[in-house]
Amino acid sequence: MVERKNNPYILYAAIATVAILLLAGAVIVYDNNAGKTTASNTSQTRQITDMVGRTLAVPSSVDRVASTSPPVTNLVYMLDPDKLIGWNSATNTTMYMPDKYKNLPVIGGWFGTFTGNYETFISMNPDLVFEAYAANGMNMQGTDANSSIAVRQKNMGSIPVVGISDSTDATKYTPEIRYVGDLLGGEARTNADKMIEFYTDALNKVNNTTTTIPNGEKKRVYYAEGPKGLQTEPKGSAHAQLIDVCGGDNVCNLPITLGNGMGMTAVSMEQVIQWNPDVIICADPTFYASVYNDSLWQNIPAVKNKQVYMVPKAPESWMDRPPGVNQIIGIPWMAKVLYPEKFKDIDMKSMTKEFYTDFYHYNLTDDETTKILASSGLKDF
Amino acid sequence: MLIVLFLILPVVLFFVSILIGRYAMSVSEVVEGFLSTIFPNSFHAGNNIQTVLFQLRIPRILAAMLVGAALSISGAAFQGIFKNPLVSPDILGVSAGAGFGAALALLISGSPLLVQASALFFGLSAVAITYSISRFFKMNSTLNLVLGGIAVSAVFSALISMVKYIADPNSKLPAITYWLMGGLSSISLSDLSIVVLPILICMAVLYLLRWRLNVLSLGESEAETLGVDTKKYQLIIIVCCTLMTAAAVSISGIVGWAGLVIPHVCRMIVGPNYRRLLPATISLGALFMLFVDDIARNIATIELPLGVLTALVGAPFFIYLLTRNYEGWS
Amino acid sequence: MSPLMDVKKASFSYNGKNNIFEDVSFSVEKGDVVCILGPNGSGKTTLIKCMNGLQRINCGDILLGDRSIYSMSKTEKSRYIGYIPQGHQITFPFKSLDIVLMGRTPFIGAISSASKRDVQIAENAMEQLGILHLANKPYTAISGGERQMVFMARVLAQGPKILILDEPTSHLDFGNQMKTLSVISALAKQGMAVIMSSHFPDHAFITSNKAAIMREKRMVSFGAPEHVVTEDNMKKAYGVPVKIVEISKRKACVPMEDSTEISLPGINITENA
Repeated sequence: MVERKNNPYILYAAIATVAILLLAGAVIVYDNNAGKTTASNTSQTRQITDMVGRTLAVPSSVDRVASTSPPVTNLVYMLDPDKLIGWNSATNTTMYMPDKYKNLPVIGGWFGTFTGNYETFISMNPDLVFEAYAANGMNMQGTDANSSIAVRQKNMGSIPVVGISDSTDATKYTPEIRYVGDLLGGEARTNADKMIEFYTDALNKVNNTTTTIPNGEKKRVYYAEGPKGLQTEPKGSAHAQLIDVCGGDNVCNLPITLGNGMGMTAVSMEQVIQWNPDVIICADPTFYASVYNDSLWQNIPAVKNKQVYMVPKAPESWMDRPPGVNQIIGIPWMAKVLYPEKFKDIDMKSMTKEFYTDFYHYNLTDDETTKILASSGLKDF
Repeated sequence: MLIVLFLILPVVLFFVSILIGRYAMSVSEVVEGFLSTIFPNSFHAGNNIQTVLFQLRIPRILAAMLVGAALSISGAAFQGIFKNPLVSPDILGVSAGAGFGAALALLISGSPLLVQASALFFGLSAVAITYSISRFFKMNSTLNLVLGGIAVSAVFSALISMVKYIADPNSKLPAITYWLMGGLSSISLSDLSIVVLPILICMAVLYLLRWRLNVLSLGESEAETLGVDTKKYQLIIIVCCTLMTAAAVSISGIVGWAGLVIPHVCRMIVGPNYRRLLPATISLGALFMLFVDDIARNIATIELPLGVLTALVGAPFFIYLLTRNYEGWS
Repeated sequence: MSPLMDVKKASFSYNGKNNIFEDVSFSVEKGDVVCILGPNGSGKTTLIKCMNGLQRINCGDILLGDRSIYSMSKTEKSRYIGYIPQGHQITFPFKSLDIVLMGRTPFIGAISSASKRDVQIAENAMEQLGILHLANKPYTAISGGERQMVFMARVLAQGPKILILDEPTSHLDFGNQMKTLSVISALAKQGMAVIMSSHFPDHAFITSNKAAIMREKRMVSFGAPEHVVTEDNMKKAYGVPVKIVEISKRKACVPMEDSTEISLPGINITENA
């Protein structure tokens, strides 16, 4: 038990320790010098100010872009899909998207889940990486945007990290559309113009009408989430904002902070019956498929009057999850859902086609357009 | 032969780990990367290479080895003083406490430094509470420690759930969940530098007490009659192990199974004598955690959570150990 | 010349109200072998725990040499008193030599480990008891009798002045019981005082030069075995009639086959249909 045969091995251990110490030393030396490296070794750069207020250098010509969270990733895709190098998560690959974009690699990110692998990002050689933060100065992880952007930048090394103020307010997308479009330039800038025009037109049209609806006459709307339809978002929540934007009255008057998931407050059937909604918007196709045959729901006015609708979700949701410019097309849709009479003149078919062609870069056929709109429950479009 | 396993393998894996990663680099690029840091005038490696090596890989490799070693040696020591090969370092509540500390700090939007400090503080506090509870009882102190630890862990776990319940589901809650799952993907040198010294010192203290650990593992009354002040040494060992575990958890989140399985395996290989067991657990623990973390950061384009992987690797292996005819079981 | 251990009017209770034993006094000299007898619950085991320092008496004192046991440090105590508990529950598969080496702990500093000299002493001890061949075998893999010998070797390596054993023969087969007793005698011949509790009154005649009976919390008898282990005392203590006989050089205590004095209700074995 007391054998001391380790003499040669002590030598090994010593060598190993010295080597590791040397490496550690190199790391420390690097760390002291870090931050002095700026743009990559490609030729031209230009100075920009990001939306947080940092000045940094980015390549003059930006061709490869990544983003760390879906809302901005979607924005980049919609403005100039050829510049996007990867998606944040696998659920983006659905219908109504050209294959070459569908098949972009999944590179993770830092948003609701933190799956980003820095080496993966770096190995794909983006010219810059967008990091979104919320309008209140906090980032997606709930910490101060400046410090988390600083961490992101440190770990991305010489790849510039550009902070984007990503609105979760559906009425305030214009600044970020403008910023990203201008930054990427070229086709992106043109698309940004188009998108802002489409967006503001839709928003104004809806606003002009809904501001004239007195409170007592607003449609009472229940946002049914989950496979049983018994989860929802309270009034004022960003998830259900389109209801408010389009002049609806969200029946759920519970406090916003309750909940143990990503929103999705649980409610009981009695509660829903008491609320007595005129319109039900469904987030879950399972629920939508069963609600008209469900005895529990049959006395709800929305069900009786066939006013139950399903949010279209391909390739991105028209209403919620993620919040972002994908909701733009949801604005006219929601308006028609809530007040079909008042918005008779909205040509949903042509708006949808236009939106998908210009921004999802997919030419919808007549049949496909009809399918999308009909399966959402809209009767006339 | 054993020396090869315990001394050479970790070093080899260390160097191999430097070479592998999602960002492909050749060996010469790696070497160049090093040289250009130490001699910036003579060598120039690409910026990306330097970032990947020194910002991302090496701190992470060092952290993985440190965390693995700290958890394993703590597990070995606890298994001795609790006379139970099924004990892990979490048994007194340090992980639950640290998790709560981190969750709380994340809830109030604390900086990463605050999160780490909070985890450390609450981890230590949880064990202090457990220890104080056990002091109220005169007899059978290790059983009372274990029971106290169960209770304290339960309380802190409940508190974690409370924090998760009221956390903002869009930002804070995911951050908390992610932290609890364990991972080293955002480790930085400064995180590491805070915990390195305490962990190494505690390891040294435990090694110095190796003989006392042997005697304590015979049982309390046996140890007492052999002249060992069991209360004093239990306290010292608990403090050291808790400090190490809390420090490790504060940088890596909650990573389980290493503290349970590694001491077991080492005991099967080198025997229960702590003179050999302690160095063995340091070595094998570092090796194991480095190996699992290499998987976490390489096997997919995205990061896999470390705590989940250690469970997936560790638990089946543990079951395998159970089925073997192992003469260490009482 | 002070006795090696002098117990003076010792009383002990766990909760301050009910004494487990009270007013116990006796003394032990060099080379004594003291056999403490008594029925279960009479306080034997607790007395042993107080004698080796695991518990503290409420009243009275225990003197080791001329110092109170309570004035000694743990290290001093462990160099003076060795202890072999009744059950040998060891969780981890230490080598037998390691177990014996643990006996050297009172001489090993807090941050040291066993030295070459310690190993030498341990090996010698094992050799003296004829178990050196077990040195590298895991303790958990040897027989009960061999384990007892390992513990004895541990005591030899420790070299205390007094050895306390709690029922050293209760879990052994007949042959190993005798072997243990002969080791105890050999230790006593070398000057070690041995105190053991036992369930076998006859063993008092084999090894001991002093015997004691604990009954109903008191030490009701202490002295030479022939004066303590009497038919009367055995009847009073255990309720068992015995006959004390002389065989070759020693006395023997033999329980009587006919236990007419012992009343048991009639025993019927249940008939299961």
